[in-house]
Amino acid sequence: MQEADLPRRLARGDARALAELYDRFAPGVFSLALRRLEDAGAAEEVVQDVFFKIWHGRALFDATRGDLPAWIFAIARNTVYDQLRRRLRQSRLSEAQAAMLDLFATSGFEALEHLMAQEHIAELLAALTPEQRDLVRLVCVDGRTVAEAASLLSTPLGTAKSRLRAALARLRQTLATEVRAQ
Amino acid sequence: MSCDHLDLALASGLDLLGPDEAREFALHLPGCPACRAEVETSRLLLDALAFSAAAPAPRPALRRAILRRAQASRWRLPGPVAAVLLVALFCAALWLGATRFPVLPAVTRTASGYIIASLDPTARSPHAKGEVMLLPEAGHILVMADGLAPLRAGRVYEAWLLTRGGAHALGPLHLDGWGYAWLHARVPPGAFRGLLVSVEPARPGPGPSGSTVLATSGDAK
Repeated sequence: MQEADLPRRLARGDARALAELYDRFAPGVFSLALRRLEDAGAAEEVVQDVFFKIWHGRALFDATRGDLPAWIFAIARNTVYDQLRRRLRQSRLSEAQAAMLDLFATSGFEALEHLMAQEHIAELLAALTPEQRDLVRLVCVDGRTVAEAASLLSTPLGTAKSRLRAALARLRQTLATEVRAQ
Repeated sequence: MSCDHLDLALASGLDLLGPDEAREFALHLPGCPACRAEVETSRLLLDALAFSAAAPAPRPALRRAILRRAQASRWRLPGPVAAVLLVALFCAALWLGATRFPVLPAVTRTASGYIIASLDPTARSPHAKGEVMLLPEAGHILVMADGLAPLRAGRVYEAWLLTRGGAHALGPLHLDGWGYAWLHARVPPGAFRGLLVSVEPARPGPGPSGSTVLATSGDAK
């Protein structure tokens, strides 16, 4: 795949470019949607919506404003939280999801989104210890519970929790340092 | 901004707090802008981790459906037609005159300058949903909708750009046969104050006259 060429091919309406984007990003979009919506059917609907927007909105993508992964991440995240808003209207939202939505509405997350390209996440993870990285992968990436991850790694639950907490704090700190450096 | 509870914000995103900590943090959070911002930043981090996942792909059937749909809709607006349409829309939009871009309550503005606004359903079409994506500086606007009921012959779903001067027709949404509808148009920078979609005759009048089925709202996003 000629990655640098993808935006141009997408803009041209090359459906193969969409297929390549799908193969690369659909798992991530699905994973993000599943994590927040906790419903595989709803997550598939998000995947569908996101790629519909990418395809029909391709004229809106402007490479000078950011890279393709960040654009897709923004669309995916917005679509997921839009689903949550609809659930709120239909009163099908759990308390935790409502709180999440409330915060999404009030925060200024956009300033960070360009840091969220997939390659960048790999760099962030590389800064963790191997034990922390295993936990973050299992819980934050694979979507397992902390208890499941602790069991898989043969680690006491309390240790896993504190290790994960330290790992997230480290990731957060790295992120903050990078934002300050910009 | 800083707060003694900031370290709890990150852990709360993964339910890593003990019961007492969780209770304390739940009481503290609503009144603390610093912690609210930190919780959302943490959530962004967790979302990005999930997005980066080497997760299993969704069902193969979904891939086939999406790509088939893209192929099918590819020819709905051939390049020359689109160009003519865009020029016409752009000229029409120029007539509206540019206004300063307002702060819209129902929009997300991304760091890279995109505006994304939700289209909320009305009582006429309670199962519909939609979204507007806009690149204000370039003047591109994309309207997308789902869940709109089929219309009888001679009727269309018309998108209306709301400006300070009133509502201006952007054109009919293209239905792709899969339940999706969309429209790509050009608008003058700064003209967008909202958008609605209504049921209209194939040749709509100067303003919306039929039932509104979707509209941007003041509902914060």
